[in-house]
Amino acid sequence: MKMYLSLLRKDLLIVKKYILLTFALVIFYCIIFLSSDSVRAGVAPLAMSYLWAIYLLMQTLASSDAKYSKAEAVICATPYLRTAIVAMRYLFSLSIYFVVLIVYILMSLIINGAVLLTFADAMFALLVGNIMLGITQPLTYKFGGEKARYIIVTLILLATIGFQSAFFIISDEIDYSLFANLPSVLIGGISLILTAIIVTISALISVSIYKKKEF
Amino acid sequence: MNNAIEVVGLNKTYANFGLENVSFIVPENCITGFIGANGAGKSTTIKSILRLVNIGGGSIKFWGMDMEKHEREIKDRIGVVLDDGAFYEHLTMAQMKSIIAPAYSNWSDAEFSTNMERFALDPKQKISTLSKGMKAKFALALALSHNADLLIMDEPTSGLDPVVRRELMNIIIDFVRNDGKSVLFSTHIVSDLERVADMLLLIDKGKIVFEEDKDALLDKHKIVKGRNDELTEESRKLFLTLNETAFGFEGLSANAEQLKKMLPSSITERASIEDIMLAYIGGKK
Repeated sequence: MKMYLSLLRKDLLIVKKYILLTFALVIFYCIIFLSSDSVRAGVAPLAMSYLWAIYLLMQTLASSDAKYSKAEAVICATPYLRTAIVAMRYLFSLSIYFVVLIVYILMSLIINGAVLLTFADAMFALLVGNIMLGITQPLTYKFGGEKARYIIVTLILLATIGFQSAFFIISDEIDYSLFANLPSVLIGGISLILTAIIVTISALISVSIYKKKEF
Repeated sequence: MNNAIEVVGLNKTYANFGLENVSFIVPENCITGFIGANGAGKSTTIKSILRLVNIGGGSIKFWGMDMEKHEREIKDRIGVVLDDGAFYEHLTMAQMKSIIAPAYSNWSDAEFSTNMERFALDPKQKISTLSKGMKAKFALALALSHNADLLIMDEPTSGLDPVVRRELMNIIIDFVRNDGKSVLFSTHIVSDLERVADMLLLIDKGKIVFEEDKDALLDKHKIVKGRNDELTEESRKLFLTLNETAFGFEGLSANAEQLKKMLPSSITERASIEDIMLAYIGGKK
């Protein structure tokens, strides 16, 4: 395991210059959202913070992979298996979530004196982040960071427009009391299971792409 | 003697180039020089055997083990030095080592420290501030610090000055002195191999031209000089390259003994590896 933790360390060393900036941004988001009476609670502040942190740090990693492709070749020439290299990259993104969560909780306590976040909210934020990661990571492995960025931005725009349009069309049809009556643990559990499924499928696709990568 | 590497029928196709049925052996306890012009296929071959590119066919074995089935076990015994310092430039050497070292089951921090001191490298120094020679030495320090049985080096001396190149060659000679160690060293600077190589492997346009013991190769090939009027059609056929001027002829032959009998007043001289390589890949008759 120590062998593979050094791959996590590799990713951390690559992004270390941007970690401070990323978490400054997370703190900024927390201050904006948590100070606002209308959105201080719920999934939005944590989800947005997590999405931004993932986007910034994972894009930095992708850019580094492109810039230092020979270094990546050296890593692949060592006994590290490509499957493990990909798996540790996903684990790195998961560790980003936990750090963002800790920052969020601390900021909540500082700003509001309380943490207005349920288990369902926390897990739903994890799910939202990993839906984005689940789609973007295989694209990044396939097309490289630069090309993937254009595809990702296009997808985000389409998803945003599509989601908003769908919401306006069907919002009157949705019975929100259904969700309000479900226990937080159940919603959280379902979100967690969906996250696990999405991450697993995404990781498997990424592994099959990365195994064929040529240096 | 066992074989550190056995490659049979390696094929790799790109749009404008390809490896065609490449087969060779890297014996144990040997320094094998892998020579060829730029673009001949040296790097592609090395990347193929390290699985850094996908191959179109062929078998690659290390110590009798298939790379497909024993990848981790094999790579644990190989020290790799790639061209032009393949590192994350913004890291220090110590940080880069902290990424590479845990991959190897036999990594030795003591050995690494010794190598770094030997090469006068400060681990705290950023890789971006290193010269080309220092990067090459650092790559070698990493490769030598996990008790590797095989060093695979792709153009490690490219762009280095003669002093650093001589230093690296001495390190390679020291490495192979230990039993069971082998080196595969690709270069287009063949003069580096005159002193150190035991075996020579020449590749041109994706095909292996020859695979031979260096001393046998140098014994077999000679430069032959003489008078133009002595040359006959039969003797011309025995030359790999032949240059005729108003003052006489000069050529390279793999049949020097026979030529001596046919051209009694000719003189023979020792050919260099570079002469032999050029004769096979760009010979002029």
